[in-house]
Amino acid sequence: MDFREHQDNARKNSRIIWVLYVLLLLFSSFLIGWTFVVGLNLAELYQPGYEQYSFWEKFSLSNAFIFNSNIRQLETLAGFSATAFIVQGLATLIGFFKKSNGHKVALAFNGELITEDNADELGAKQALNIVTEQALAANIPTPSFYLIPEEGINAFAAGKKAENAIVAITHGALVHFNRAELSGVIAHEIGHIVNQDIKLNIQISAFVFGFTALFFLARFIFYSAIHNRRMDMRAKLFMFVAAVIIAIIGMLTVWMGRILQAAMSRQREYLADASAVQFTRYPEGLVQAFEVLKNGKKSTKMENPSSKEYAHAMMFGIGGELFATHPPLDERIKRIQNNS
Amino acid sequence: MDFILQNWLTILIFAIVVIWAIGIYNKLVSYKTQYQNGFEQISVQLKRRLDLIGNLVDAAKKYMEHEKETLMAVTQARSGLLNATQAAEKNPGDVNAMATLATSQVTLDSAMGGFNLKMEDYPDLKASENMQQLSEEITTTENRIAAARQGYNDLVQKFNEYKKSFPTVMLAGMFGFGDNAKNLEFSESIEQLNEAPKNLFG
Repeated sequence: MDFREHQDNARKNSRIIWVLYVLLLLFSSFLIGWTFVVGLNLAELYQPGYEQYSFWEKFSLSNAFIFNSNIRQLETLAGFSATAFIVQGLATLIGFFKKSNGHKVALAFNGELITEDNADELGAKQALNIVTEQALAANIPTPSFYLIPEEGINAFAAGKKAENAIVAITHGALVHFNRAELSGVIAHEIGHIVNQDIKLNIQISAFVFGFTALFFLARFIFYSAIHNRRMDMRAKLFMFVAAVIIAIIGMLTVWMGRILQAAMSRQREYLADASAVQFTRYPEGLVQAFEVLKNGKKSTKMENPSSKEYAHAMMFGIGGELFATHPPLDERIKRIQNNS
Repeated sequence: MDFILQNWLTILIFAIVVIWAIGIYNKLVSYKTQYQNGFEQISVQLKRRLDLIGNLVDAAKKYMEHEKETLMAVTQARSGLLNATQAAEKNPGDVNAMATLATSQVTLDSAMGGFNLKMEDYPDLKASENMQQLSEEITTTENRIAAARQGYNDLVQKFNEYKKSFPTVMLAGMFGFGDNAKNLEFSESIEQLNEAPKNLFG
C-alpha cells in the first residue's frame, strides 16, 4: 500500500468536506434571511388593496422588491442572514472550545487503566507493549492504555491533546486478535491521535450542533408569536409560517450536516488505516484483523450506552446506520492490499 | 519619515519576505531537532535491549553451564554493540559510525541465533515462566527498536522533503542546513536481521 498517497488523498477529501460545510452554513444563513424578508414583503402585499394579485404574483413581487436594487430591502436581508450566521457560528464555536479529556471517555466505558504495575496477564502486558511500540513509530509520547470490559471486538482513541490522549481496546479484542493483528488495530488508533481526528470530530459535531441552533431559533419565533397579545392574527400567522419554514431549513441542514459528518468520518478511517500501515510497515496485520471480524462473524457491538455517542471514534462500525461512520470492511481491505 | 511613506510598498514587501524567511528557518530547526531526538529514541531502545540480553544470559547460565562458547559469543557481541552505539551517538551524521553500528547489530543477532539453537536442547529452560515473560520482553524490545528506527527514518524524510522543496531549497544552504539527514541503512543482509528475533524462541 502506498500509504503516503492514501494519506494525501484522505487529507484532500477532508479539505473538500470542510469547504462544503462552510458553503452549507452560508447557504442556510442566506436562506433564512431570504425567508424572513420575503415573508415581510408578503405580509405587506396581503394588506387590503392588493387582492387582484394571485399568491404567485405576490410572491414574485416580494422577490422583485428585494433584488431590484432596493437598498433597504437588501440591508434587511443582509441583517437577517448575518444574524442566522452568527447564531449558528456561536453555537459552533462553543463546540470548538469544548475540552475532551481522554481518560474521562475511557472511564465512561468502565475502562481499566493498564500500567506496568497491574498488567499481570501476558495478554495485557503484550497490549501495553504494543501501544509503546506504535507510539515510538509514530513519534508521539506513549498514550495511556485502557481495557474495556466488553466482549464485542472494538477499539478507540480519545483525548483532544496528545498529552491526555488514550488508546482503549475491548476485552473481546484482546482475546480474539494475535500480536500482529492487535498491532495493526492499535497502530490505527494511534493514527487517529497523530492525525488529530478526535479534535476534528469535536469541531464537526460542533458544526452540526450549530445547525440545530436553527431549531431553537424557530421555536423561539413560534412561541413569541403565539404569546404576543398585541400582534394581530395576520402577523401571527406569518410568524408561525416563518417558524415552520425555518424549522424545515434547520432539519434539512442538520440532515446534510450529518451526511457530511459521516463522509468526513469515513475519510479519516481510511487515513487511519494508511497511518497504521505506515507505523507497522506490515499491512497484513491489519488486514488479518479485518478478516477475523468478517469471517468469524464476531460482534463489534458494545453494550455500554455511551457507545453510540462515540460511534465515530470506534475502530469498527457498531450498527447498520444510514449514515455509516465507517467504510465497509471489504473496501478497507481492498485499499490496504492494493499495490502491496 | 518621508522615505517610509514614499517607499511603503517596498518596505512592506521586504517585511513580508523577512517574516516568511524566519518561518522557514524555524521550521528547518524544528524538523532537524525532531530527527535528532528520533535518533536518541533508538539509542534508548538499544540500551534497553542490551540490558535485557544481559538478564537473558544470566538466566541461561544456570541451565547452560556447558555452553560456554555460545554464551561468550553473545556477551562479546553485546559489548561490541555497546561501543558502536556510543560512537554513533557522538556523531549521528558520520557514515562510518552508522556502518559500524549496523555491523555490530548483525553480529549480536547472529550470536543470538546461535544461542537460540542451543536453547532447543534445554526444554526446561524454554518452558519456565521466567523465560516466557522474558520472551515477550525481548519481542517487544526488538519491535521497539524497529519502531524507533522507522520513526527516525520518517522524521528524516520529513526534514529532507521540506529542505529540498521549493522555495525552502533556496534558503536552506544559507541557513546552515546544507546536509541532508541520513536514513538508517543496513548494508548487511536484511533477511538475517529480520529472522534472528523471530527464531529466538522457536
